Amino acid sequence: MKYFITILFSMLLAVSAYAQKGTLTGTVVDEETGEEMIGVNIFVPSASDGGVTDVTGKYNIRLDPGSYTVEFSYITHQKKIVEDVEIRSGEVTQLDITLAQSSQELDEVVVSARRIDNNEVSLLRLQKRSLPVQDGISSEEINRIGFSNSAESVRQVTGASVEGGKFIVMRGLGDRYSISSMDGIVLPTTNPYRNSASLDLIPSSMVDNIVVKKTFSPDLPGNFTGGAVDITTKSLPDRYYLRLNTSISFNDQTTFNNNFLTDPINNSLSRLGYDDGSRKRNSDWADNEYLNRLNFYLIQIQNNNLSDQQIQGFNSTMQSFSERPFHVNPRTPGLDHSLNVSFGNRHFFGDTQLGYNVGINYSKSYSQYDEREINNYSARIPDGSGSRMQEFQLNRGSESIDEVNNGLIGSVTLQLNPTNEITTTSIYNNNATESVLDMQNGAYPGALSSGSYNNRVISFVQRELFNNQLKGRHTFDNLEVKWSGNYILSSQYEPNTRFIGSPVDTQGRYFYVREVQLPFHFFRDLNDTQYNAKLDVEYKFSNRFSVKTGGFYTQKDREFNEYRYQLENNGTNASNPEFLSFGEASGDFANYFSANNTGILGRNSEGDLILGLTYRDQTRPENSYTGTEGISAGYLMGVWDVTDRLKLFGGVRIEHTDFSVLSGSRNEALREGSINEVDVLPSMNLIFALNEDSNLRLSGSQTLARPNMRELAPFASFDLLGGFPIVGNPNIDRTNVMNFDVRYEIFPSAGELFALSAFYKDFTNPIVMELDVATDQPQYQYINTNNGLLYGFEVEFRKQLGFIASALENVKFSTNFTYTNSRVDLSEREFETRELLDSSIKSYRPFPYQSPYLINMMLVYENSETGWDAALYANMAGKRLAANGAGAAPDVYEVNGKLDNNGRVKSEIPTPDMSFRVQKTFLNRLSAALSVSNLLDYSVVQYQKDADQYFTNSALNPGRTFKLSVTYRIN
Amino acid sequence: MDIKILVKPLLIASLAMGIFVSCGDDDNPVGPDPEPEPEEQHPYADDIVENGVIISGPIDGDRTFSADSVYYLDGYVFVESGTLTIEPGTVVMAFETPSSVAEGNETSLIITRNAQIDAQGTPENPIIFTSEFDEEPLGGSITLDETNSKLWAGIIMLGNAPAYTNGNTDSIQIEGIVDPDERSQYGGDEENHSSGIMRYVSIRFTGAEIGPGDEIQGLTLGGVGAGTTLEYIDIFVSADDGIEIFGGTVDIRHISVAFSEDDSFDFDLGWTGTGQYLFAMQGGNDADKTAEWDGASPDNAPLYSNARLYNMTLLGTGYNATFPGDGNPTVIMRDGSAYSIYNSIIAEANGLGIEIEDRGESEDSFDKTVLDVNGDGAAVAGNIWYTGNATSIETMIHVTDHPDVHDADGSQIAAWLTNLGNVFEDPELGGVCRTQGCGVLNPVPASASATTIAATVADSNVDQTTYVGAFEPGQPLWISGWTTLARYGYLAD
Repeated sequence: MKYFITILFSMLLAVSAYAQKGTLTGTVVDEETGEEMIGVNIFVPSASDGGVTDVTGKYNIRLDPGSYTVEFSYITHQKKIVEDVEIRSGEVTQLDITLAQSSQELDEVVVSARRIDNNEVSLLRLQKRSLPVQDGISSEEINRIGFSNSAESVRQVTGASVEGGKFIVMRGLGDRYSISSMDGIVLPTTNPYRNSASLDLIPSSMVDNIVVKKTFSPDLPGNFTGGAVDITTKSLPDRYYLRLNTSISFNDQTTFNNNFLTDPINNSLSRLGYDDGSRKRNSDWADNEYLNRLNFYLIQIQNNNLSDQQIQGFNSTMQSFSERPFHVNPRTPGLDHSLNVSFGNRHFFGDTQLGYNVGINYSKSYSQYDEREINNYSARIPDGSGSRMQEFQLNRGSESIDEVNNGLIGSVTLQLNPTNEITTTSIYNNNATESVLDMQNGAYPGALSSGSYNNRVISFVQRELFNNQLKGRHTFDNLEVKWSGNYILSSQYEPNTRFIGSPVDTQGRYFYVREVQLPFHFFRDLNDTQYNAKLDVEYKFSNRFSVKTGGFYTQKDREFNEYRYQLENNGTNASNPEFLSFGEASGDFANYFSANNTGILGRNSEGDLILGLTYRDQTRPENSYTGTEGISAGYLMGVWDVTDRLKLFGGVRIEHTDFSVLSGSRNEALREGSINEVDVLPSMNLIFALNEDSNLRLSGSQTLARPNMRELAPFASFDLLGGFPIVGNPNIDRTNVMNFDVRYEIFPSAGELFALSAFYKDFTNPIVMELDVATDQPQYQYINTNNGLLYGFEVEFRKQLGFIASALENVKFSTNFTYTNSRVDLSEREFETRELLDSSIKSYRPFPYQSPYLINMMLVYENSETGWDAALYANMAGKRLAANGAGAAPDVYEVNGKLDNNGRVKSEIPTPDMSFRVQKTFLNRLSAALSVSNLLDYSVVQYQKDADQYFTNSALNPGRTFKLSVTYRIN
Repeated sequence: MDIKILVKPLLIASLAMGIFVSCGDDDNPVGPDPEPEPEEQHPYADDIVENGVIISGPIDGDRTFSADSVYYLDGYVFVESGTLTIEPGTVVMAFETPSSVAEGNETSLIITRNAQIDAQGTPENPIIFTSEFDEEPLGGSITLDETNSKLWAGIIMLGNAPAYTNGNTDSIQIEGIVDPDERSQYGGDEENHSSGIMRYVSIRFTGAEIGPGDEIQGLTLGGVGAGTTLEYIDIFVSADDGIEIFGGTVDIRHISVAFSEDDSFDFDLGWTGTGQYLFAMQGGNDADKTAEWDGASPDNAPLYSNARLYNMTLLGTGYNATFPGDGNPTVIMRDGSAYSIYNSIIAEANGLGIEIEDRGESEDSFDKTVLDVNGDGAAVAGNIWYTGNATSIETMIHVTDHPDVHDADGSQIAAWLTNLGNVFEDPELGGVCRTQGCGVLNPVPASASATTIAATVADSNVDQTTYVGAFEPGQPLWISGWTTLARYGYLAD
């Protein structure tokens, strides 16, 4: 850490070296296409100095302080002369320029620097230039709204929503249907059950911009269907910059709430987001004779057949579990806080330039849900006599979450000359979540005649991502070559989750029943190693025709392990005075699970051994698996400007999928799962410029979706809180998808937009999670069903409000609306079986987490003269499918809503997620922002609707968060 | 642009760049070789008795277990087809931990719906299924007792008789085996289907967890049909239920369940057979109900359980036991079931007598029995009740914990029971004891009612007795001699 601080300070001090000259920098783009222009000449006559734009269209010139006229020229374009360009000592002047193609009338234009809006250029680049339909968020916007991570940022893109605060859902298609990538390389997931990466791992401070592509082109991964989110991290900075940001937040449900509970395990690295080893699976537990052959040893104990050495060994094993307690400690959480530091610079060595970026972020936050509910209902066959819903298991209590996120990003870019650039980037991110789910007010009518039901889950989950990339970009006249290679390590480490569930009788006594698992310790870890190689080659035959080809290879190797150690109370004599039984302990878990109550407690007067708590290794070999996901791909595509108005692009991509999973299952038929297929994915796009400001786009493509390794591995994993087990399926196949898109877009002026899109997608063999109807104890399984389809439209609108009144000149309004409808077939068997129970059941349901509508609205006020800006932001997502119903029970939907006094959501119409932020900038360097999120105070509710009543499956109230953040920036 | 034109150059370009990286890894899958060498000696070959035979993997076709050998079951042993014949006196052991070549993580014998078992022991030479640690059947000393559950999983018998869960009637997956596997499915429409015969069979020390929180019982029956004979079966210590019946039409006779740690007799998913001479005694750790009787899923399913039980003696954990809680009924009928109980003794339970679930729904167990809305004619008649937390028929009723009950204080149920000749009194059993070697167990009633209150029975295939309970006063106990209770010294001489 000391070493690190030293480096940090020397970097900060580096600024003084540039105190005398000023820097002029910017990007040059084609006014028509929005494309960055390479090789534009920049000349400053009065200084006899100049430069050339590089492969990214950027230029960078150092000048003495003063006022200059700057000329931008390119052979096929109008020359642009910009006057009154102010260069100040030690500061950077940004000048982003558009160049128009040459016309007969004028071969040069003269403008004043004061009339140039840099923002115009960045927006143009994001919208017009793009071949596929895409939307984006620039770093300016990310900063303005104050999003803390990429998941939050993406949510405001048209058609995007976020599941569980982490996973992107594009146009109603989440998980396997949407790609999350970083700098063009698909991000690995750290969650064994998911296909898509969790975007909350990537803090905003590392992000340069986020682009969401909605139509497929052959240079994108073939598992594109809903959309592809690409996060571009910061690369070659224009100039020296430094940004220090710190924030504190207050949440009205959490901060200073005395009900907050924590794991009593004292983890010295808790603050940093790591486990110091105190939760680690004890190395003695692996292949432990006593845990593996507990029955044998219990018989030996019963018959007084153990040697002293064996007694000692037995006790040391059993008592080691007492260090992992089941009780919880109260604690009062303080303010959430975060710190971000980022800086970078560009150095010149003649033609060669070297740039670097360093970013460090740390945040700590707490969440407390006092009225947490997780309920399960069963259902009767609807017979017209009131509600069919029957309470099965109700869990009520609180949930306390302590989350730490830390990360480090470093990148170095070497620009040998304007046409050759190599970048290496390393990103490390770590997220640790410590939580206590404490349900002390539940009931279990499905199994217990009377009394209540309590349970508790104590867990720690750490997710790490370490992504190393080396990439290059080279242009030779009309040829552009891009390559990259990645080595990615990602892991999820879940040490020592503890579960205890027990009924409490009407007299307050705790006991065990067979319907509830005995208390256990659970360990799970996932480690992925991924290698990627990517090559893209583009050749421009003429201004009207270019061809792009390339290849991609990725291999991901996974190791997944699960371990489970369960309490055993066999052979323990509850009436023995030496032993504190579960009933006697009556909820005093600290004493019940203590070492004094575990193992062999001594001998009675007859010399027989007295037995306390013991543990059994209940690890299932089939719950561990290894696997490999290999994808190799090649593509060829062309872009052809058929006429001035019509542009065609398209091509074909071939992907070879080679997946295999080997689990430890002892059932031979279920041990291995594999997919080995080659897919040809053609696509064709057409862009027709109706006039200068509007386009019509049409596109059609074939894409696919794949199962992940967990879905292929045939083991059953158990939900801790009465949810249904999930079973993998080694015979599952991939999904083929046909996509069709139409989009009409108008760009009335810079920064303004109106767009209308429609989309239609047809799925063959969609992969769905089905509740197995074969058993009276339902379990989820992954299957392919026949068909699915999804269609919808999007409307997008951005406008400056100056046209209403000049007072509103600084106000911008943008909104977007997405309507989606989808249906995926139920399997024939599920439909036929469930139709017997509920004749009104449909043979299809929507895709999971597909909202019928999404609305985003943003109102922004920005006044650069006074330094004030403010934004009001609202998001509404219609109810979405969260889980399937079992038997006669309806499906479970999720919505953000308000709860009534019975803990039921009042309406299926969502309460908007609204946030407000106001910011004041002082002296260009220091800014302070205050933001409030969840202004309308919704709860996240999952429910089943029956007989016009909403039966809550899950509810939590995130509360309102008030955040004060201060940023100091140089440049 | 014509796509065909593009494909060729693409392939050439791709090949040139070496993009199609080898796909030939198929013959080298990740991890260990899944195929065991057939010639290899079984990993446990040295751990068994001299005349031992290890059964690892499925039995496909007729097979006989002879009394000359001792059989060791290793993991899941599915009898996939044919008949498994077991000679009288045969001992079948189960491994605690299945070997590396076994299927499954626990040991279990599964008679699939396409197979039958023919296991006919005699009182002198019963067939014994037990743990490898049980030395008694081979003439060794007694080292185990009523606390040793979970030493292996248990026996599952599956058939094609009707059962119902959530609309599924013919391919229901049996509890305990989580893998989606057709061999573990049951159900159908063959009411008279036969899974074979089990007679004078002892099943000991079962209930190992097959999946988290998922144990199977001593004997688990799924869709077993009326053509099957199940009588004189001894289930001694099970971590789950003693016997659980999921649907089917089978009749059961002379069943003894001792020390099951969950429920002794657990019935589910539309069992419609009859039972007579059923004995249960609980003890051990935290045993639950003597009788947990469910309907089907959902509660108002078209097929529900309406089995009729005669001459049971159900003994709970003891009048002074602390578990289950005092407020718990020892017999529960719920989920829309309509069982009948005739001429039985329900005693030695610490809490209450019976709950007949009353949710205020049109087809709950209360409506189907007390109100007889479906005309099942279900009856709870001619029984002696005696439990620790009640003093009368009225006070032994557990009222369903639900806001919409019809019978808010249980008085309707009590009146119905009284009317059907139930009495609340001490049956004056000859002796009850629950520790190995105690030697005083004699569950024969001496109270006057025991021979005076027996109700008239209508089922033609059950015996009309003059006494109540599973044992006829003055006659030798049918559990004498061959059951584990007898051989482990619980019974009075």
